[in-house]
This record gives sequence, structure tokens and C-alpha cells, in this order.
Amino acid sequence: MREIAVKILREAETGRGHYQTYTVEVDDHAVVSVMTLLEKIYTTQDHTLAFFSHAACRQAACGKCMVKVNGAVKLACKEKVTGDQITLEPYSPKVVRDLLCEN
Amino acid sequence: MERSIPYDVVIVGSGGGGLRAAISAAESGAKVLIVAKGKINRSGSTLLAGANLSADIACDGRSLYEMGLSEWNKDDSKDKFFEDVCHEGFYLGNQRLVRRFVDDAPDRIRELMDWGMEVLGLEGERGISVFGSAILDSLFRRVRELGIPYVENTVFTDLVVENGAVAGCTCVDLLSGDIRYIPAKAVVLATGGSHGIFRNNSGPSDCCGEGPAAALRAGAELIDMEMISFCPAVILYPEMYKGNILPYIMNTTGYGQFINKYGKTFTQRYLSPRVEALALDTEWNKMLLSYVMQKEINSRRCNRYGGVYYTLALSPQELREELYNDLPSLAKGIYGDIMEIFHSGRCVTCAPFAHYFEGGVRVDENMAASLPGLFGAGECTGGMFGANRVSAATTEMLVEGNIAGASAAAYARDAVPGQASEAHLKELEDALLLPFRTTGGPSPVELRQELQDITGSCLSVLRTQEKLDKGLERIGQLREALGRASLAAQTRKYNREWLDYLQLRNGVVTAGATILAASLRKESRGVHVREDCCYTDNVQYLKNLVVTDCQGGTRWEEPVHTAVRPEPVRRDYIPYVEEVIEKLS
Repeated sequence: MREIAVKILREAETGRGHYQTYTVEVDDHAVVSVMTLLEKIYTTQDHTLAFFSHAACRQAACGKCMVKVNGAVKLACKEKVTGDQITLEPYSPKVVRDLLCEN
Repeated sequence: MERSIPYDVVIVGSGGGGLRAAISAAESGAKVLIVAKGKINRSGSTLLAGANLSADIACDGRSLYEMGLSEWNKDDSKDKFFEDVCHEGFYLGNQRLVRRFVDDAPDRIRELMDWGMEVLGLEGERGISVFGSAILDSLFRRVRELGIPYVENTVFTDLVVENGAVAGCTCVDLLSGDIRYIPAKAVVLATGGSHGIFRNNSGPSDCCGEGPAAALRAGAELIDMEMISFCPAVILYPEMYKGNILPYIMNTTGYGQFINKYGKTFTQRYLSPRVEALALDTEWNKMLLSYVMQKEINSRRCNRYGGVYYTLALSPQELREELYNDLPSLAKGIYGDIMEIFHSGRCVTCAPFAHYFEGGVRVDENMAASLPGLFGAGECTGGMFGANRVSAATTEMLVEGNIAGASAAAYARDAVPGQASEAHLKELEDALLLPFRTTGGPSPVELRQELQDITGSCLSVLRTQEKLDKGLERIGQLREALGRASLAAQTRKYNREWLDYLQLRNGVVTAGATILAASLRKESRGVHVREDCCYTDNVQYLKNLVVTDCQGGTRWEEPVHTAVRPEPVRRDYIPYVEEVIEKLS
């Protein structure tokens, strides 16, 4: 198994943003996306995490799941996770909650 | 609950069916609002039609010829197309609806081209190839020309009924968490399929069956719920690409092959060479290949990820060039990423995924439901394709959207505006906010897992009475557990767990109706395959099953046949499929 440390900027919308780090385990050769990690964290570790998920095509066609990955704006569903740590932040200053921004 | 200004017609859903319905309602003079779950021109399944590589819009060959689009099939006719769609649906399709489908298809294609849709080429003898996004863009261009207002990031929850007729609907603004009542004389449901009730589905995350569930709660009826088309070869693993139908598209084009864990091909185990050729070379491949794939997956030859492998020959170099020559889109974007897997000497695991829902809200040929003021368009409706959809869902949504919008506008002209009573709205609001009032109950996240476990166990490609009965029992328990659900976060602002609750509230209704219908149809017909009743029985089951309420009420109904009627025979499933295919033009 491979462990990935996922550091997420939360609650920036309150003006009291803080980083929270989750550890996600995946298979050694697993190909995972940022969206896969977010779904895993939401489903198995933290039901309060907010990220774009209500109308996602999951196939890089709708362009709605933008998130800042290690400082660069990416599509969560298309961005492959290769390293063992990653930092996720909202892609715009207009944060609704956690990683979800007004679009 | 907030009250918005009143409208004549509210359209729920902004995929192709919803946008097309909005256009015809507005052109008929109605005051219209579109409610989009996500972004107005990027919601729903339309975007993913044909994996956004090549969506087909179907139409008879003669009309394509007359439009100057194709020379290939000019001897075709609307009548031949009509008959084929009736045969393909194993005689459960509403033939009055099928008639509208073939008659209106050319006009729907023509207007999309007028509104700027680029046609990429042809798809088979009865279709043009376009990007799913191009359909949405051209419809949205027309929506903007007409100045139709819309709201985005808004999830529809319930129809509001007063004095036996629709008086609008309620929605949740997901970003603020506000619940809103939108008064309207008529509502057109265009919410798409019920993909979200399945863990393995090929749809976007928005399609969760809100339309059929809300319709049933409000007193309308559902039809053909047991009929669900599976896409046979969808990526199951690697997880990142789960739900992508690329292997199906590549296989249909002729590339690659499916092998079990031992590296052996297996279609010949289940189909005669004749039927196999039919399965691979015709549009019937979805139904027949799903059957074969699921049989193999249920055997000990299933691979470690729970599917079968799809492999692609990329050597010698010439084969690679052929592939990229035929499918140039594979070189870039997410398909380029998926191709890297094959280039690195690995492959992907595939399985059949829930793909298209033939059943849904029961409508007549004016797209009116049995509840006054309620109309439907596209995948959330049932009846058109009967037991199997072979022709294009894109044509369906455009044809039905056009009719539904005009019917709703005509109804609204004469209808008295209804206003919901405060008591009724309070009751609806209480139901939506229920998990905020509870503590220590199960999370909707775990309950969603349970729902998807249930559907995976009894509603997959191969069904049995025992599994369906067990599934129905578990749905009852899930419904009860949902009444005790509570949330980890108390905010209403973009609370995903609350959204999961709202979607589950509908999911238990659509899944319950589907399992019930599948358990009552004790035969195999079209996409509904019962391992314990492996025959098609036109003597006893040439009927549509109507679900009449949320308490398990059902009724069998004679199908609407105007021209095509099958022989009253009972035949083994696969031989009967072969027999029906022979009738096609």
C-alpha cells in the first residue's frame, strides 16, 4: 500500500482558514486522481469536507471541479496524484465552503 | 421557505431535454424558468453522450439524404425506422410515442444545425455524429436568444400539488442552503436517469432520479422501471477512470478485445457465432455484450478487480497508427491519459455499468403525466423505447423536450395559477430538513453505500427472484433508517452529506420501484434478464408494468400498439433476440 498525505485548506470562507491533513491509503500501482482522494476522504474519514461534487462529469468534460493542486489550478478529476503528499486549496478567492468556490 | 415569483412553466433539468423544452415553452409564449442542478449548459448526461467523442443523433436515412447529410441510406423511410424501433423495444414501446420520435427527428436535427451545431460526420446509416457539448451549446445559444431565465447549482426536491394539480416545485439552492418554493402552473421534469442509485454507473454525478421519485410521491405514475440498459464495457479499474465508456467506444469501432483472468476470450461461450456477429456488429451490442460480460464476471474467471480485462494491440507500430488514425481524439486530454496505461504495457478492467434508464414517469404522446400540470422529457420519462433502447437517447430528449415544452405552455394558458398552502410547504420543508433535527443516527454516506450495495446485488444485468426479494426487504429497512439519519455538519451551505440525504430520499423511491418491477416481471425481455426465467413470454408478459404509488402499488397495462404486434409466443431469451433481430430492415 502507498500512503498519501493530503493537506487541505479548510474554512477559508470564514476568514479563519486552516490546513487539515488526511492520510489516504491506495494500492501500490493504483492510478488515482485528486477527485478520487477527495471522495475517499469524504466517504471514509470526514463527512464535513466540501468540494465540487453535485454535478460532476468525472471525465474532464464539464470543467467544474477546479481546485488548486500544489499551487496550480487543475481539474480534480483529471489531475493524477503521483507523489506521497499533495496540497489542495480553493482555486478562487470566492470560497463558498472549503474547496468549493462560486463559479 | 422562500417563495419566488410565479412562472407559467418551470423546467427541471438543463441537459438537452430540459433546454429543448424551455425553448418550445418560451416560443409558445409561456413565462419560463429553468432549474439547473449544476451549470446551465454543462449539466446532465448530454455532455457525456458518446464519451464526448462522438454522440449520435438518430434519424431515418431518407431524411438525412434530403438534408444533404448522407447518400448512404436514401431508400430508408420513416416507416422502416418506426418498425425497427418497435421491434428493438421488444414490443413494449408506446407506438404513438415512437411515431412522434421518427416523424419529428429530422426537424430537431435541422434546427440544431440552424442554431449553429457542427456536424462531425455520419454515425451508421441512421445518424449524424456530433459532440455532446455541441448539442448543449447550440440549445443554450437559442435559450439566450429567447432570454429565458435560469438558476444554477439548484437541486429540485418536490412537486407541489394543490387541489389535485401541480402548483409548482420546491428546490434547494446548494450554495446557500436556502429552500425555495417556485409557484408554477406547469412543471416539465427533465432530470435525466437514475444513475446515482448504482455504484457502477456511466453517468455524471447529477443524475440521481429526482424526477421519477418526486413524480411518484406527488401522485403521478411510473412505467417500465425494470428496464435499465447497461453499457457493457466501462472502466472499473483504475479507479481514476471509473465510469468512462472509452473501451466500449473503441471495441465498437473494432479495436481491442475482452479477456478473462486467464487471458482467454469468452464471448463464444455464451453466444453462437451468428448471434456473436450480431452482438458485435450491430447496435444491439450493448444488451448482448452486457449479458456475456456479466456471465463471465459471475464465473471463477472473473479478474481480481471484479471484472474482465480490455486489452489493446499496439504492436506492430502499424496497428497503433490505424487506431490513432480512426480515433484521433485518443491522442489528447483525458483519453491521452487513459492511453498511457496501454502504452505502458498494462490494460484496464471493465464491467457492465448502469447506463440508460428506459423506464420513468409515465407520459402520453403529448408528454403529459397522469397528474394535471406535470410533463416530462428525456430519460426521466418512460414508455418510448419499451424494453430496450437501441436508437439514440439524444433524439429522444430533443423530440420529447420540444413536445413537452409546447404541451406545458398550452396547459398553462388555460390553467388557474395554484399557490401552495403554508401548511403543505411546511410539511415539505420538514421532510427536507429532517436530518438536521436528528442526532446520533446513521450518516447518509453509509446509507448511500447500502443503497448501492442493494442495487449492485439485485439489479445488475442478471437478476433472480431470490435476490430481488431480498433487495426489496433491504430497501424497506433502508427507508426506515433514512428517517433516523443525522449529519456531521450542521451548516446548510454546500453540505454534501445533506445533498446525499436529499438524493437518497429519491434513490430509495426509484430503486424500490425498480426492484419491485423487476421482481414482478418473471420473464426475460430486452434488457431485463432473469436467470430464473430465461425466456421471453408474449403470452403472459406482453404488458407494461405501471408503478402507481410509493407503497408498492402496481398495475399491468396493455402496451400502446398502433401497427407492430408480435406473435403470442414464448421462446428462450437469446433465440428470441435472434428472431427479433431478423425482422429489422
